[in-house]
Amino acid sequence: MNATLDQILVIATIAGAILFFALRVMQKRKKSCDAGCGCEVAKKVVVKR
Amino acid sequence: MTATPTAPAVRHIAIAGNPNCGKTTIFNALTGLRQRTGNYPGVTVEKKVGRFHGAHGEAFDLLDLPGSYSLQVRSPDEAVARDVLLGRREDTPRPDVIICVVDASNIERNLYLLAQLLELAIPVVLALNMVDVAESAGIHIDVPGLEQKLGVPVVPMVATKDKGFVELKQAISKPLALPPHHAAMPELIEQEILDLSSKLHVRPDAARSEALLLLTISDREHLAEATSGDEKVIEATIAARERIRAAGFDPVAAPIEARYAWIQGICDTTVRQDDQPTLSFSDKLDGWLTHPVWGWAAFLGIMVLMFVCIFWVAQVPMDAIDDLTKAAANFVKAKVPEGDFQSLLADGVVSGVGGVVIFLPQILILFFFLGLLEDSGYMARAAFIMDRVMSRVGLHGKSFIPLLGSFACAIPGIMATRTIENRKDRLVTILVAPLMSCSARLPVYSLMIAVLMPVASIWQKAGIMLSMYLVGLVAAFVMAWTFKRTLLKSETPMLLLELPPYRFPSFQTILLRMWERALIFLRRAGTVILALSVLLWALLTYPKPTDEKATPAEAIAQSVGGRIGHAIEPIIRPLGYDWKIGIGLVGSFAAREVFVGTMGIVYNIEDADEKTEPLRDTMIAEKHPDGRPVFTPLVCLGLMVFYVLAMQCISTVAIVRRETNSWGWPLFQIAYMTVLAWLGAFVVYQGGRLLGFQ
Repeated sequence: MNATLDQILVIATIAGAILFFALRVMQKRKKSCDAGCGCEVAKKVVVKR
Repeated sequence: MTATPTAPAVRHIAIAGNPNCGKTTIFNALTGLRQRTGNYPGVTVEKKVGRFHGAHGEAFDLLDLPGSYSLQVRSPDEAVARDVLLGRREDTPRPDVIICVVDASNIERNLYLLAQLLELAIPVVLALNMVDVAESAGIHIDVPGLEQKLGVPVVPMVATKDKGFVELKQAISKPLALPPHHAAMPELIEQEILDLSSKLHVRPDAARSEALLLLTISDREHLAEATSGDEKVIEATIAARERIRAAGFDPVAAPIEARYAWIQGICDTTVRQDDQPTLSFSDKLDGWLTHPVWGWAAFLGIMVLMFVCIFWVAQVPMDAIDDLTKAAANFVKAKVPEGDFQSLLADGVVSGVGGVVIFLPQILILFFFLGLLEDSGYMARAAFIMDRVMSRVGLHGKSFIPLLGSFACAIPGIMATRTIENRKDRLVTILVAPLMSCSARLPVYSLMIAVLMPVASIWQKAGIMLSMYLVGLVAAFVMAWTFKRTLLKSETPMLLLELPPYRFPSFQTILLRMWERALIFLRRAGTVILALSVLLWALLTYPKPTDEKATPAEAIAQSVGGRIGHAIEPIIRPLGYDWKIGIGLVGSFAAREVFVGTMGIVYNIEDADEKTEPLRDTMIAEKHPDGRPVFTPLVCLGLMVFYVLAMQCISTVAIVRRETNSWGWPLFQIAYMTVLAWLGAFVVYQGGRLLGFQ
């Protein structure tokens, strides 16, 4: 295989793996919990009183 | 003007009931949602919603509330159920209808929750479940009589046999009135409830129940919490409690007594119990399985059987996956031209992912057994016999259920701690739950056992595996004992555990759970493990050695991963580990099963030019520069002990952070478990050497 193409494929794969983890972290931050489990997000729920 | 037709609003139905009354089974059957069902206390701790259609095709949103014995809450999940029913939560609408599921074989106790639900001014349908169990126990219920006394529809059901669902849907689809009766309180208390409810700033239909709940709170601190610090309401409540007490009533006990008197009145005329209740099959079996001696023997016997099957049954599919992995590596090597990309695919991706996927059969067998034990009702017995040990360390058997769940995975185990009432006991249980050997440790144990004893019998392998599980269990007990006497001091609670009758497990449910687990595992292998394998390969490949004649071993030593391994070598050398094992330890910090994949990558890159042989053989042949073998029996055992005790799971860290709502506890947990793991491995290795072992 052409050495340049070889390097491009390797770099693209590694970048893909890094991107995967970056997206996961961002997605987890966005995700809010509505499970009613008493977790942090649920604590923000205003108790009607 | 023309009227535009609008879609009718979807009605919200909440399904409530005591733990183990079959609530989740009814929820599953109505909504068709695939969801875990179990029969030990408190399996339902999440909010679960599904849609179903009534007898006339109308849509309903069904909410599965956590199991609770009453609205006087003792645990966080019971608090969720109470808040939803009182319309306190903004994220969940107050239900239009409640399906109250009642275990017919325990009707008197189950009717207590119903008595409180009838006070909520919400239409109620009573699903009288497990009527077959009640009949076989000699309990005969006059359903029309019960319906008349309660004033709400009563539907006899056997949810596990699909009986009663048509009638339940019909009952829900009919126009439902508010419950006409509920337990009458003594006149003075009723008057105080009325007065107090007029002072509350809550929705009018929930005011009576809110006032009644406030009257049962004895200390000012909890009152302030329950009233959001409303001083006027707090003072009014305290004054009302004083007046009730002055009249000779106990503000807490009086409503409970009134409800039980009301339940007694209903049961006296509608429930008939045969004079001589026969000793059921469950009772006879419990005589053995909860026996102080035979109970333990049975528990250990079941565990041994499970681990023998894990090795024995899994061998054929594991060999097949191994062959597939080799074929995939050879395919890549044949089709992709030689170069870094070929190495990335063959040594990184295929070795890393294949090395983990090979353990899928063992994990599925573990889940088959856990499902079998849970579905049959044995788990509650295991918790019961464990209570004797648990109480010695200051916890009760209820804490053992999350620990048992952690055998599968610490995440559901830690979530199951929500059923523990005492905050300190809950924290102790969360702190020790990851010490239980989860399924992700299985690959590490299996690999190390294979290296330790390549020609051992299945029984010997199962014995070593079982002992690792026991090491985790003992470590959990010791740490719980320590925490209960130092950081989280509190009294040993009493155990209130319900032993559900033994049931024939539903193989469909177990197979479904195994299928779901396989999908989760493969999805994880195809995403997180795959990405980690790529990154680990990169760390172990770059920077490349400047000397083109460098051997693969020298190349790895010069890579970033190799340098990290060398950097931590002084810390791990007392454990008998070299820098390559160090790479495995660091690489598996986020997920412990990655250790196996990392070892695969390390040794595959190193042996890139040699013939492909099983990782086990490569590891057995691995030598230190002075010719001593790297993986001696003590190193293998020490590594297993290290993985028993080390945290090494980023998902668990995240869930502990969420459940404790702080970073302090998960960081403390990582620290104490890592130190414990190091000490454990140190004792095994150095202690073993002192005794003359290698």
